[in-house]
Amino acid sequence: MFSRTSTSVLRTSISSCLGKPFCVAQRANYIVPSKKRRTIPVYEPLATAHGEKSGQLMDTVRGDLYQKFDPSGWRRELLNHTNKECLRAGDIVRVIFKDSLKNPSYVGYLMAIDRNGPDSTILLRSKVSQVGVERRFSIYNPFIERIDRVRKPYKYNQRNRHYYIKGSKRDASDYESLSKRTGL
Amino acid sequence: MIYLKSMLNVIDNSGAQLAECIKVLRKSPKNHAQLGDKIVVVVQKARPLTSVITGATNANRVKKGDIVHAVVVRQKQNFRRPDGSWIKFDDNACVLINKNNQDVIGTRISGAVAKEVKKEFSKIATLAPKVI
Amino acid sequence: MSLLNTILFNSRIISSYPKLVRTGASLTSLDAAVTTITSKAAPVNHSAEMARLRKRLPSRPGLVGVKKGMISYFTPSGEKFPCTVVEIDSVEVLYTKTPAKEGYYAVQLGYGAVSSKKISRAMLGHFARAEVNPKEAIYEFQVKDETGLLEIGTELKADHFKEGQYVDLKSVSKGKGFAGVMKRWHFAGLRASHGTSVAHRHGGSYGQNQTPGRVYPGRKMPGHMGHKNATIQNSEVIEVNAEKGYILIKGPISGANGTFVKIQDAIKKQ
Repeated sequence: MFSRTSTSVLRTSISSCLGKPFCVAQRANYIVPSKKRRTIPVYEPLATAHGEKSGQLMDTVRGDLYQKFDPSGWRRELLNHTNKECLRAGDIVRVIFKDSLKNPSYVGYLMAIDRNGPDSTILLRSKVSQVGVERRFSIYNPFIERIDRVRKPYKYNQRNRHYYIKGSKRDASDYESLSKRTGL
Repeated sequence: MIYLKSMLNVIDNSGAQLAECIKVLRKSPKNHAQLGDKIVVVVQKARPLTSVITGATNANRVKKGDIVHAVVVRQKQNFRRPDGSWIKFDDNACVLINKNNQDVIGTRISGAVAKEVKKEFSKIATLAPKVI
Repeated sequence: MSLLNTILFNSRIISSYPKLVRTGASLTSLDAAVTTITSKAAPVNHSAEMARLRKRLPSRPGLVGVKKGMISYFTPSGEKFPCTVVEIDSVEVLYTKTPAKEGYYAVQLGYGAVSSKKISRAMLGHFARAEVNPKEAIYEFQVKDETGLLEIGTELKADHFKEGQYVDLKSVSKGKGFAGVMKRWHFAGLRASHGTSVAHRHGGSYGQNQTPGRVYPGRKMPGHMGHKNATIQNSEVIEVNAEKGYILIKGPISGANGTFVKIQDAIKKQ
């Protein structure tokens, strides 16, 4: 192998790996194998070449995006399974936005969490003036300032997707007016 | 996804209760209405003119069989917002508007409406008790 | 009186004997005569040279990358959109082409690194001449003139492009195999019932009968779909990381993950 700094001094043959001589000289009606065989220098890859790292590039990009959209790491902690205080389906959660005057906060029953890297979302259901509303938020969106858990259930259900609560007695209620009345 | 034959709840006090979509206005080739889009509806169920509705004058009342314009304010289909969030409601609902001056026919709106109506019909957003 | 005479005299002459004036050049000497005039011939439009000059080409070469996958991205104001991750790994200039030899200006770029055992001796010589390592893939970028040519051996990094600029993306789309007309050309197919027999996904007629007696060229038929060169124009560059070697581009890129992508300055934004 050739290092890039000394280009023409270090010459090693790679002919051994290629077997029989390859160069031929053609005459009238027959082929004479050539005795001469030039040595071709082979240069080493750049020091910055990705090599093995290439396989982990998507993880690297994800890591960079986490640093960008979640510098303090609280969003990752909310989704971290090993964290005891992570979000779970069945919680009642309030999402607070940065532009709170234009976008008032939204509180709802956490029906499902989709863990998908920087594209992770939570699905919140509540009732607003007797009409059921479901909203799905991207957790890593910098537009979201804070996500508070308002209430934990008495006992967690052994399900991660609570779509079945719709129309049942466990259905989400109007948490906004409830919090005003009772201080949820 | 409001299109021909879709049934919508009417949430204003114009007297109509249930309306059927017969046309989506200016949405070709998508041809289905979403939050904030205008449609033409037929009133399929209305309160009788004899019943008194608070805040509504008889001149503005609609009755069964009337063809009126309306704005979609709630939809069952998931709706994507530019910030990547999605919203959907449990029912399809509309508010009736005047065909000529785009004003709301009723004087009150009950129930939540999506904030997409605010852009073109700010009066609906101000009348509604809750804008999501 | 004299004036009147002059006018009358002159007018009489003109009316009777027209005065001939020599306007052309007169040959005063035989030695000074120009027998032939050579003018520059107008360029032949139907030539390779003129075709190259007419072509809308970028002023500088682009980059070769590998599509790695897609990811979500947010703007500071909270707008969310999908992005494609393109890997840029040791892209180096192998060769430049000039009109004198090849007939056009182009820069040949090599991507990545591969074992020398997997490369033919002919190509090993090509890499050795540029003093670079054996490359995984070679792509060529045509440029407008010699100012776009780069020195052989130059490494191009991801910061070749700026954040916020627009690029054109060329890659090979996903192959769909032998596809019918409904999938390949979005035909409506035939009816599901009312007597339709074994022709529910057919395209219908291919043409008329004895006149013209043939199927017109360009008739849309079943056949191989996908695995073709596909260009996406005017995609925005969202993020550039020269150190880690990747570019984030707004929206999708044709082809599966692992496809080589040619990224160029957007030709329609220049």
